[in-house]
Amino acid sequence: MLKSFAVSHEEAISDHTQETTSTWPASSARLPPRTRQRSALPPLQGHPKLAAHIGNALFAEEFDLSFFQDKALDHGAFSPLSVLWPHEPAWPAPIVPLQVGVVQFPIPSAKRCYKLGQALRRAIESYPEDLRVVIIATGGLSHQVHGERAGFNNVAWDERFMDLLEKDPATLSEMTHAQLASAA
Amino acid sequence: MKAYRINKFLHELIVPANRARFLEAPEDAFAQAALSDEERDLIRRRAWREMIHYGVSFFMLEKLGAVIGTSNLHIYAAMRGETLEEFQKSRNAQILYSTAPR
Repeated sequence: MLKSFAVSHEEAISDHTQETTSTWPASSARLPPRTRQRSALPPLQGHPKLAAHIGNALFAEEFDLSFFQDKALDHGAFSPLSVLWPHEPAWPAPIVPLQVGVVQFPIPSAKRCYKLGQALRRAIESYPEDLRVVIIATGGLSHQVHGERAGFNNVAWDERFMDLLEKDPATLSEMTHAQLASAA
Repeated sequence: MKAYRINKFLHELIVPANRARFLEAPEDAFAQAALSDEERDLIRRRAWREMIHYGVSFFMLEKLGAVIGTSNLHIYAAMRGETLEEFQKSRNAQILYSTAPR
């Protein structure tokens, strides 16, 4: 099982939507085949050396990460990257996936994630090669797929959140899970 | 951790053989997974909202939806107690999708 934070040491990272080979069940009455647009994206390159360095540096800063290989990534990585980057016939640069486990409680606090981000910056800056590195965070803003409030959106909060992320992340880092869940 | 078994059962629907058995003989599949009567009832009734309250991950619901041919949008609408049409009126785009392989 993955811990709260996990880094991939993979060299070639595939899109997990390409791994399924079976067909839509014959009993499907309501939804026709091909309703979902399948991606046919080329695999991404990983960067095992930078991943190993980040792993060592974050461990030294008391983040006890787990590491994974042989795991495909899903739309959380491939969808945003596909609109940010040209990717035919290949992606222009390698990535180091860093996964934050927030699906099942207990989950890391906003403050813990903020500290991870600060440690991540130091890890990247201490890498011996002079790489150009960009950090892309993906995930939902207001986003609710559970229960009676499924489909909840709060555009005003989303805009405020993006503004705070840029100008005052410390304020965001003080928010509790309950506050974040209520707003978003 | 009372919901572990039902979550595991639904997650294992990613295996084609498990999907086939669930569709052909659901009661046998329930029995083999030793699901409780309550858990079997939740799945039989496609009780989406109740499964969430029971502790089933949404990501397991969408696996079940994919196997039985119910889109994610139908599941969202059902969790809100709305028809698909009512739910779609609140969306910017009227789309249907699921995690089922095509």
